[in-house]
Amino acid sequence: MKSPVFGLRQLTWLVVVCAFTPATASPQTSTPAAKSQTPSKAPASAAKPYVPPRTPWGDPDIQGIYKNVSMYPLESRERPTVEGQTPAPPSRRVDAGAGPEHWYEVPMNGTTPMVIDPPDRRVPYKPWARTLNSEINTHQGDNPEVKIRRDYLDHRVRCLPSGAPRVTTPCAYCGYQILQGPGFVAFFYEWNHLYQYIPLDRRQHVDANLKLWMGDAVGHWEGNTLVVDVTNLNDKTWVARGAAIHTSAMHIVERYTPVDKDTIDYEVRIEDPNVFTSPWTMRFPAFSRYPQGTELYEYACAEGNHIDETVFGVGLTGNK
Amino acid sequence: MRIGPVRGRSIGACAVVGLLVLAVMPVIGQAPSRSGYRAPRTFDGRPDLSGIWQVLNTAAWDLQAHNASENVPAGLGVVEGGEIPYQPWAAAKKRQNAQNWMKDDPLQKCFLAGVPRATYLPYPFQIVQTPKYIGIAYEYNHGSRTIYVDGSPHSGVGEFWMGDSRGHWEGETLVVDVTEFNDQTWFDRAGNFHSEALHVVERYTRTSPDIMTYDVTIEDPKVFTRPWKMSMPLYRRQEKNVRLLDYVCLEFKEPFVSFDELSKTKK
Repeated sequence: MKSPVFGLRQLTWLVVVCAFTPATASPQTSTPAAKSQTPSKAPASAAKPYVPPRTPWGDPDIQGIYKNVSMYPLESRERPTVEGQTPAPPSRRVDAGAGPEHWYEVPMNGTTPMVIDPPDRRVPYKPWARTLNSEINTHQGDNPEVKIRRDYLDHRVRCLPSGAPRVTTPCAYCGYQILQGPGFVAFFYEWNHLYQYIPLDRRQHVDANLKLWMGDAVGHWEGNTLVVDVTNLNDKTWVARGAAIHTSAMHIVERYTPVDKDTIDYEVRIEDPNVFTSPWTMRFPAFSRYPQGTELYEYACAEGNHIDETVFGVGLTGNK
Repeated sequence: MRIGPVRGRSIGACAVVGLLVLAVMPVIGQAPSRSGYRAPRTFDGRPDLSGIWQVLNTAAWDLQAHNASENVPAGLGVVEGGEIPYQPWAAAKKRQNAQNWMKDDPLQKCFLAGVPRATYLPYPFQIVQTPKYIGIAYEYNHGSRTIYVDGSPHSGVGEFWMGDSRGHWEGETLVVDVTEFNDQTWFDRAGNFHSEALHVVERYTRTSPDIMTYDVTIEDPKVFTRPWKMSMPLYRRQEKNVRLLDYVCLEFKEPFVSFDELSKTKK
């Protein structure tokens, strides 16, 4: 019987994969196998835009249980390209840890960066923010000579909520269940039992003093695209792995577009004048429908997190 | 999560039988609740339980009747008959838990609350209802669970903090059968506990526009001498623009760099 509770081995692995190697999918020559990871064209430019079925109350029906399409690098030149380097073959997670098989089936061979604008596909950090980004990455532990700083450590490795848009950027253990009813779309995320309830009645955002880990989301449909405006985020999460920091002034607009019956593309425009020189955009195929009958699994993160004993030797959280 | 064949369990089979009974006896499906209240219907004709709900009681501190103590309000108790029928060894363990709650209560470690404790924590939760899946989002620790109302059996694969929830409708009532627990969660801060043999049956029944009755049967032959019950009202939150906010327990135990502050000092 498999237990969803992580042991030391799993956590160590999780730290290594999620935090120490932000460039999980390093740039490499595109291969035929990677073709499906190329971001789809915007629906406007597609020859025949996919028309999803309708719910009984007339909304596009995108309900279902989904997994990631692939992992992708966040930005171009995430890692220096080595001349003459042979591209790594497509890889799958092989760790035999806790949980169901599907947690170890995330293809990691996406090569196209998630950033599509600006055209150089780099996050347009202000200089101080780029410097801090590098410094924080240095302290994640991939260099044994640099001490890990807990206050710099990836919030997800500490089992804190992903925040938005990070909760939609591909990762291990990341399944998605989309539920719809008249007036709402709700996302239930497999990773760390997070959720996002999106009212569609265009209500105003909550008081600006409220800072929420997943933000305050308000949505509406534009044709077959679900558009979600998210504010009221806190300053403790990353836009994406690899220390893509932001402040609580961040405002994002997400666009979920079904491009065929099994795939949903995701585009997000990110604005935070405290950190970035201009708004920027990520786009990638985000969700791929699981086979009929698939159910998501409980991901109990803090409950099995032995980070204190394995990394810090002192307990702040539950397991000491 | 499961793909392919699943080892069904007798309890899942019971849920399926329950659905069949409903199918051949539509009269039962139309029956009002004991209160006589008939809830508004969803588009597919089920009682509409959706919304943001919360208890107004002290069950999170102690399921049983208790006097006030420092920072803890007194409570009438929610256990039917007042007594929780522990086996002798378990009664001693419960007393020990109560003495050591500050160290041993899973919530002190920011762990998931389990079922039914998640329901009566002093935080709201939101029911997201669709025909086959009913999601429950809990404000406490961003916890969540999916109740499968698609006739599927229990997963048969795990021991979960929040259990494995399979539901069906009995007239006005959503009946949820929850099994596959681990032995790590408690029922309250008074140290009431269970083993991995825990079997919970929850009944959610709307009794007025803004009140829902929450009836729970607890069964655990390793810890109790017989099944026992608790019952309490759930109240719909009335605030305009109400939404779940955050109580992310670990946030208060972890150090952070304030990017807000840094952005003010760096250019």
